[in-house]
Amino acid sequence: MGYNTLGYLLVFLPASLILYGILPQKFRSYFLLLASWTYFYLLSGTLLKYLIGTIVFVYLAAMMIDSGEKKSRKRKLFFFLSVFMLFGVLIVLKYSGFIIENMNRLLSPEEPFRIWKFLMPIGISFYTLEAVGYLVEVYWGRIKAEHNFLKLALFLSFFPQTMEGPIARYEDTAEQLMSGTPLTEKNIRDGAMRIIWGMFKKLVIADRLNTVVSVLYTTDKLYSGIYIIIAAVAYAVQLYMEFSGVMDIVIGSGQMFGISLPENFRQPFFSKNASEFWRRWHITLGVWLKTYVFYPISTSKTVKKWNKFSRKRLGKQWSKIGTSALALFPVWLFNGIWHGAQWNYIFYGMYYFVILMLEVILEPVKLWFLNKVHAEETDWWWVGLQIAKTWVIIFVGELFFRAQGLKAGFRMFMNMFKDFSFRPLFDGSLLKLGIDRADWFAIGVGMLIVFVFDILKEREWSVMSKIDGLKLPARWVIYYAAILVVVIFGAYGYGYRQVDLIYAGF
Amino acid sequence: MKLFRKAAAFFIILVAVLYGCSFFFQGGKKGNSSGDSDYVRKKLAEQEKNTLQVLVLGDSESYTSISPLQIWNQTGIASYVAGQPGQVLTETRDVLKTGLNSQKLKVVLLETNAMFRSKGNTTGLQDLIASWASKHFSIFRHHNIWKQAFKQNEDWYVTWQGYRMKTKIIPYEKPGDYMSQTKKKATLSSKNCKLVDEIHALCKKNGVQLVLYSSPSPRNYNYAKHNALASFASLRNIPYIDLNIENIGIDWRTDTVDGGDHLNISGAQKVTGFFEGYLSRFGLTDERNNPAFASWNALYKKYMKEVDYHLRKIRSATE
Repeated sequence: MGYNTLGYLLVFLPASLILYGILPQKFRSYFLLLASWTYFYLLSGTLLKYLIGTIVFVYLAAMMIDSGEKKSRKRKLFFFLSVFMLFGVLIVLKYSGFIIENMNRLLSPEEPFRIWKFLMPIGISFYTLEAVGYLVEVYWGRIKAEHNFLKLALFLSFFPQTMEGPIARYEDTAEQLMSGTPLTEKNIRDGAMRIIWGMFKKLVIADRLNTVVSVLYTTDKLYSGIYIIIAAVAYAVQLYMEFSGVMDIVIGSGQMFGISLPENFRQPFFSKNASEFWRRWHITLGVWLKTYVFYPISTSKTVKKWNKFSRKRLGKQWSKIGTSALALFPVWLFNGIWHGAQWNYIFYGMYYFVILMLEVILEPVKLWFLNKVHAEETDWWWVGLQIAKTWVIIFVGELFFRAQGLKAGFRMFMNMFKDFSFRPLFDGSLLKLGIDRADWFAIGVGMLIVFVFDILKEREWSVMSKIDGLKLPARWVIYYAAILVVVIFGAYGYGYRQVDLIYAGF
Repeated sequence: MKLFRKAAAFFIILVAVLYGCSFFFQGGKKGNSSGDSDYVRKKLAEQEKNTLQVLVLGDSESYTSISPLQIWNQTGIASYVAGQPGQVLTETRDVLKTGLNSQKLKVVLLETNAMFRSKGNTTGLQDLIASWASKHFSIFRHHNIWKQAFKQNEDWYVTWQGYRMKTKIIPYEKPGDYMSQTKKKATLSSKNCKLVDEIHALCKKNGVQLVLYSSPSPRNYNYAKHNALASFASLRNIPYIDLNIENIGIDWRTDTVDGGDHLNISGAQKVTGFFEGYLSRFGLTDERNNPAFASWNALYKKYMKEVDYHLRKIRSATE
């Protein structure tokens, strides 16, 4: 029962809201936990055990960590042991097959090691990061270990976040979840509108593009030139519409209960460089990596020593480059591996590591160039050029990310330069990619609408507050019209397949 | 309480809006009806009278697995696929009646996937809501009607005597044998059993041999379903062919259009190849040299052009 299904939208969510609203305030958090575990049970049955096991473990581990004095060995030992255990479970379930397979390939033993296949609990990659984040905060002494089991359990299992995040921080959401905030008309209205907006992005655009993407990536050997560019762009757009659309549904669901979940996207296609892109795309993963990987490494003794040494010997610029490399490499390796046990994900992480390093290395060249042409970084042509460059970076990255393995990724990349012609864009070839003219039309208009709304958001012009300001009949007409657009133009029913949530697979 | 009252009012009006809009989203002649049984029946009724000897019925598994034009070229038997997406057995029965009205059929091949479909008694919540919504609000069922504006008077799908050629490959990649043996038996609803009995009786009455067949499909079949169908068929003395078990050379890396749900042209050729031989036992007549069937030969040539083009693409993609 994904967030885009009728079961969730028409039964589970409304029923949860009604029961939540009817119950006295003090029982609401208990109800939310019950609803969350029921949701998880409906998703993956016995796999609920993993979630409850993790909650019990994290609850006890945090208390053990907190029982030790600050900077004591006991505290350190409990902390590293518990993080090791949490990541250990994730590694066994998610990566053991990949590791053994590669060991077999590398060592070619006479009797290959047996590859164990495990059922991977949905959402484990997300709630493990939340759990580790919580333990780190306790270890650092920023927060006290939570003694209220319900509060911690609810933080790790709140149902709208279960499948795809956003990866919340304990101090940001736990208190809200416990507060039992009464339902308000505004929260329900705004939350529902956000859900409809998310459904629009997923059903009208992403699910239509899914057919094109499946055709181009599954039979990539058939295609070259402009088709590969279409594949790269189509997948980047599909992923954005799908992931940000689902986040709209998730955040909208939370909002209906009066819970404000962290944003995961901020108009990423307006980024002027890769570094800015990652501050706008999957924001909560970026914040997690920055807080719990980048920051501890860049302030570690080894890096500080290197900084001191290199500033004297190599100068400021190379010292900065070296420091960045030391801190960014593990961040991007982690980012790649976190997405899954495949070489193309690891390559994807390393790709962004190299791009970000190049951005640091070429910074003086950029400043020199701007100075030479007497231009400012804010000049429209320069901004446009930077955005276009970032698009190329994004599209190439997503090409490797979606390819059926690293080898296929390189093959597709190389094929991009073969038999290049713009003709397929106009001669009807696009209609042989699994969708028809009407579907392309819906995708085009849908993207245009999202683009306009993203521009408005970028300029901090809130459509929601404008709608809020209207009188009730006008408001309701807009709501009904929005629902009808999704119902009429959504890619569902005859001729379409329901597309699973992409990030739930990570 | 005020909030709940307001929400209830909003939903009541929403239901009214959806119901009202449903009047503009109807199937039939004007609408997007390629998936409807009335459309399928209309197309079947348009076939020249008393030309068809074999009729294939069922859901999407039927019209993606058997190609009448391939059968025609190899055996000279005229057949037609009157399948439709998500066909339920009441619709199958009605389509059969249409076929019997205008054709002197000898054999009916009924694809069995619909026997596990039960619209009125779906177990999954999703199916229940979806079928309820599309039953009562045709806007959900025919919401794609707007796409007609882009069709330029073409049919929604080009079909080759009912066969819908699927040319993509999305391999079935799940590990393990989907037909691993078991003694378990899947449940066939009594309602569906009765409907197949009704179809069987109709066939008998008109001197038509009913054959049940299961198209290769890892997403729809398993051994428990095989057991259920085999025992159902044997009790009634109806021939049953399970192509998930028969070795017809299906390669799940290349022969499926959507990861093991339906067959593409490469897979359909193999299933059709099986039936070319199988149908010979019913003493059907070879009409290839009959001038009345000249249009079939012309259509076959056109069909083969398409087939060759797509098979070449499929083969080069998988080399």
